[in-house]
Amino acid sequence: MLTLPAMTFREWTGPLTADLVREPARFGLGQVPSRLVPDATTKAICGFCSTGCGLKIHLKDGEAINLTPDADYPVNLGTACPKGWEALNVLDAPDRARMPILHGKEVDWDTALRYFCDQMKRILDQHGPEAAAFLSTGQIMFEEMAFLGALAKFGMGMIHGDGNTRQCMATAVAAYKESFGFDAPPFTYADFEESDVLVFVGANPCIAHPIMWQRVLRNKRQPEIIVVDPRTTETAMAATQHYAIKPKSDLTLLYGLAHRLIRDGGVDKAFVEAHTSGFEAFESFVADFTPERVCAETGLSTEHLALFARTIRQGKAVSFWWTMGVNQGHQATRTAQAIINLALMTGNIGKPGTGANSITGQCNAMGSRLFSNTTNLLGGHDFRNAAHREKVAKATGMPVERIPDRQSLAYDQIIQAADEGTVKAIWFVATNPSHSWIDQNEMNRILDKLDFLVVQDMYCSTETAKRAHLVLPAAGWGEKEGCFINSERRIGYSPKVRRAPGQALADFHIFRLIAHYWGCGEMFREWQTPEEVFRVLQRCSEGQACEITGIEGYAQLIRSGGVQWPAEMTNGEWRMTNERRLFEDGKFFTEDQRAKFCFDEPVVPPEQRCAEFPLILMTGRGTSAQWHTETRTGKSAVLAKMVPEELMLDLNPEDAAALGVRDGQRVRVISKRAELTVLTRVTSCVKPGEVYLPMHDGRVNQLTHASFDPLSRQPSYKHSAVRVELV
Amino acid sequence: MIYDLASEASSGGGAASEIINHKSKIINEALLEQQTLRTPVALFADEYDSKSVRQRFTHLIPLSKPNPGEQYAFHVNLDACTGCKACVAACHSLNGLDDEESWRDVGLLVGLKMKPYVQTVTTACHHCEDPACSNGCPVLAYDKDPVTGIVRHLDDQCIGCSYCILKCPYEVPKFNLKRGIVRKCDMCQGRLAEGEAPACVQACPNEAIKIKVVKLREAPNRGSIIAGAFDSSYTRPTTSYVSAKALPDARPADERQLRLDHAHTPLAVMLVLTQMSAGSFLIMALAVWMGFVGTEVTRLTLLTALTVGVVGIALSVLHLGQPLKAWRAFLGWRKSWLSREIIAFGVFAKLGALAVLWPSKVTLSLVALAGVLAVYTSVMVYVLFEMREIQKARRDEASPWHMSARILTEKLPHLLRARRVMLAIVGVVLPMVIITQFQVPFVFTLSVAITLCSQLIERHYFFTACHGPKMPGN
Repeated sequence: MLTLPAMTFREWTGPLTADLVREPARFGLGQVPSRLVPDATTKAICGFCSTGCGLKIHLKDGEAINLTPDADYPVNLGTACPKGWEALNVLDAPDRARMPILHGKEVDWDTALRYFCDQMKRILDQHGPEAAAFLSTGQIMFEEMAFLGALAKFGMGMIHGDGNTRQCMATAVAAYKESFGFDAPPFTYADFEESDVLVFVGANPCIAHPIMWQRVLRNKRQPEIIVVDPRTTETAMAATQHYAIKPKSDLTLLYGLAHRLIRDGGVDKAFVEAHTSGFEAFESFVADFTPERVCAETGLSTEHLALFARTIRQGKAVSFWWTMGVNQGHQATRTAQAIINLALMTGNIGKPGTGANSITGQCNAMGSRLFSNTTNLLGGHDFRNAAHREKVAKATGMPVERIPDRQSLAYDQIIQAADEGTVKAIWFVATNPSHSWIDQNEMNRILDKLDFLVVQDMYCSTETAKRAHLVLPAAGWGEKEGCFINSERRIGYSPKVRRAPGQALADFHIFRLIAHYWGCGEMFREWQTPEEVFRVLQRCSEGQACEITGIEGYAQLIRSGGVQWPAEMTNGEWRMTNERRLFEDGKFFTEDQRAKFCFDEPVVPPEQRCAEFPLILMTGRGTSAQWHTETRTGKSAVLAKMVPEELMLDLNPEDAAALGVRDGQRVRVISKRAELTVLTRVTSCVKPGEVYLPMHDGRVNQLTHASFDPLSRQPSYKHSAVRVELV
Repeated sequence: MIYDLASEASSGGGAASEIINHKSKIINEALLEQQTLRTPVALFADEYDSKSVRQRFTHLIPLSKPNPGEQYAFHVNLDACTGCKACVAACHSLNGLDDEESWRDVGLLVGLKMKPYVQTVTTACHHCEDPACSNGCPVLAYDKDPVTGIVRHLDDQCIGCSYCILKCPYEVPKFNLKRGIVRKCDMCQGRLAEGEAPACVQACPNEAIKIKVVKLREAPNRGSIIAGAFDSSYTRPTTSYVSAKALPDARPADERQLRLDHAHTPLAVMLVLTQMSAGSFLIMALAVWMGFVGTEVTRLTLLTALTVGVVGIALSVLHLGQPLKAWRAFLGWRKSWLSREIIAFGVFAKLGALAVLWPSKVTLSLVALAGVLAVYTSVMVYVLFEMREIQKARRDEASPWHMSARILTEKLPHLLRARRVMLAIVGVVLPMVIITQFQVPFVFTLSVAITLCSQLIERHYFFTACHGPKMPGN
């Protein structure tokens, strides 16, 4: 752009200067760029992670032009991570799916829907109700998830459906269900600020949940922050105690802590006696976990183990937090429960600043867990329970005989069935397993065997969409309305503030259309808008731990800054406080209202290092600017700036010296399954014998070894054997 | 764009068409609803925060303007900078910047010792006491505010020469290709003037960034503000990085990554051609003084030399984002070597023309002198990069040219090889041929052409392999 000079020696103002002029905006925003001054604002919940930050959307003529974090939302208090700041920009990407794509060619909706129904009907009719399955997500609104689950199972007659929450939260679900009697994370974010001791196991909130870390730094009690992580992460650097244990020795460590707490009188006997069951058996089980054994297996010193146990014992309010380091393990459920056991035995639950707290992954993982109709029948019910089926049939208006009386296969079992040929069609919604599933080449081999592969996504460029026979173009966050449930059980509303590109439709609309084309539209007569489905789900939740019958509707959710479940109506009136935790009365959701101690003997990870593959590869989050397979975050130029240009392998200096590898040098990482080329980052933040790769690069899961927690069926991404070679 | 099946529906008949009609109707309804934005505006348009931006950040910015001898400065608490990078995104968003443009970056430091250490570092303009960007600017497009000390860029004054980018050791000014100018952080001076915090300060969840008033004489003039940063004596940066912990030895995570810098091709050509021209005039002046040739026979040679020089100067204009404003390039002569270079080559070209018209010992001497001076200004602009010690530098990690040497041998090996071959041809093979009197005019032309190519390659890797200083990156 050439501009003519003014006839003065210096130009203090002019068109280029004007581009950056800021002016005061209304709505409490302060100065904003002149061309982005809004004429109205509204509020939304961020659609990336489970923190569930409130965003204030700046509108011009009803359409979103910019956003700022919501200063009044109780979750994020006016801040957001880069993903949230860039949430609108990723909607404009050129590779958005704008039309349905059938066998690589754009078609109209009528053709696409007819083809979808014909194929699915043919497969279900010929091969039975187990021959088609859906795999959904933690990224869409829970009204949509419920619609998908109800449509596929009650309307179309499928048996099997699961979500990508299997990759992130299945373990927490299994652990809470068995220990507490319901999938109920007990905490509220205020607990970050009210703890004396915070224990993070397999969690790196500085990078993965920066806005939760903000709450930790707001803690005025000078808390002890303990981080258990094989790597020295940003969070480990900020901790007061960091225990870099051997990969996947966490279960042994947690049992060892229980052993020491029992030995040193750290047990809250009154609480254990009044509110738990199975403690005696647990006590005798952990007797074998002597400090000597635990230190040998974890690599910690006895002094460090003693200090760790003492810090917990002496803490007045101790909270335990875990995420993917625990959930993605070969014994993940027992590890999560070992954390729960520590909280129970020390009485650190149901009080401010305490709890055994699973930090969730996706923005609506919690909604998926309760309302996706996959593992649970709508509202945390059981498909196998006749009374539950009756209740849900009544609440939804569905004929009870349409509700399957069988559990769905888990994600990995559906894929295995596809390999064996019993599942012939899979419908993926808002997820990208060709990138994210463990042992990716194997996954892709199986996907290519399917008779019918449908992908419903915002982008037609995802690795999975490229393999699909049919792509259904979906509107994304900001282009549709509905609710998310965050980590602390807070239900928040997100509005439609952008027009979707081309003929992309909200997942909600796509499900409505499929119901019509399938011929079961009548069953979903009441499911016309997301808010109507919200009402149906409220009825489904009645009498459950996750009851939400007390919420008046979307307007109240917006007014109140979100509402945490349970939100039941008692005596026609409901007292609402903005920060609520569970189990304050010591009553759990089990039949005897007692929390249960659950445990098992640790076993070694399935893939061990060997002479050929002497290093253990761990994978996880790269930067705060990246989200999972980067179908969205990869579209923002600003977010791309925050990420190293090439895939970086963290390698310890000792291993680097032994291999003759320099910092920044190109090397090959090789596992039994694949090899790929990366740059090295030589750093003692990983220990000798261990290497780390961020999961966002599409190639990383070619290396990972597929093993699964037997209880949660969650894949274990944190322990694969590899070797590194010079290029 | 609304899906329309009206034609299809009207052409059908009977029950089948009614079903089609119904189905197309609900597709149309869905598409129409999808494109309609209504609820939020109607219901919840006027949302105000309970506290205004001005109230929320008063503890992070100074309450009063700096006194004489003081200025505003960024103050970063490293213990609170944990790598969320919200400041980078907020700078982009709240300032309405282009595509990937942001005036704040976050880099990473990693430990040198066996003790694990990792630290993210947020960095923007350091609003230096002696800003190199401003000192280098040929058109006075920088202004250091006398009260706040904020180093502001005058976007409409900028000619897009990028010299400030070469001058700043912190990689702060960024070239905006779309607009043909450089833009940079102004510490959100308009916000500060109204008692509002800059975008990055507002955005940090952990309040790691503050604005403080600092005394000018306290700006560091030695050491570096953080590991990996350039020596502070050069510009006296005002940003301070603090930590309650002792900071161990560390290096930027991207320190050993090989990156190619901008090639500045018009400048590379300009340097070769103008130096060729100046050299020709110098040789001719010497030849005339020593009586090897008379002034009359030199005219064609001089004309050629002048043409080469003028073409070189003209080509350099292609390097500017806003060439129409280049006439102001003399303004910065007091401080800017680029400004002086432009003036010097202007004088050189005019004297060259004079010498072509009236070749004499006097005119030739004048133009030769002007040529030498002009080349000297070029040297001052594009500080010499010695290639002699490349092999040594490549092995010696402590050498200041180590990274450049690695870039040359690992990223540009073909160019390096080509240049060596060319030098060998010009330096050894051709003189041998000339001595044997074989095809002199042809060999001479070939010699000039190869020398020219070889020089262009040298200027190309002079720019691309320079691995200039910067703040820690990813």
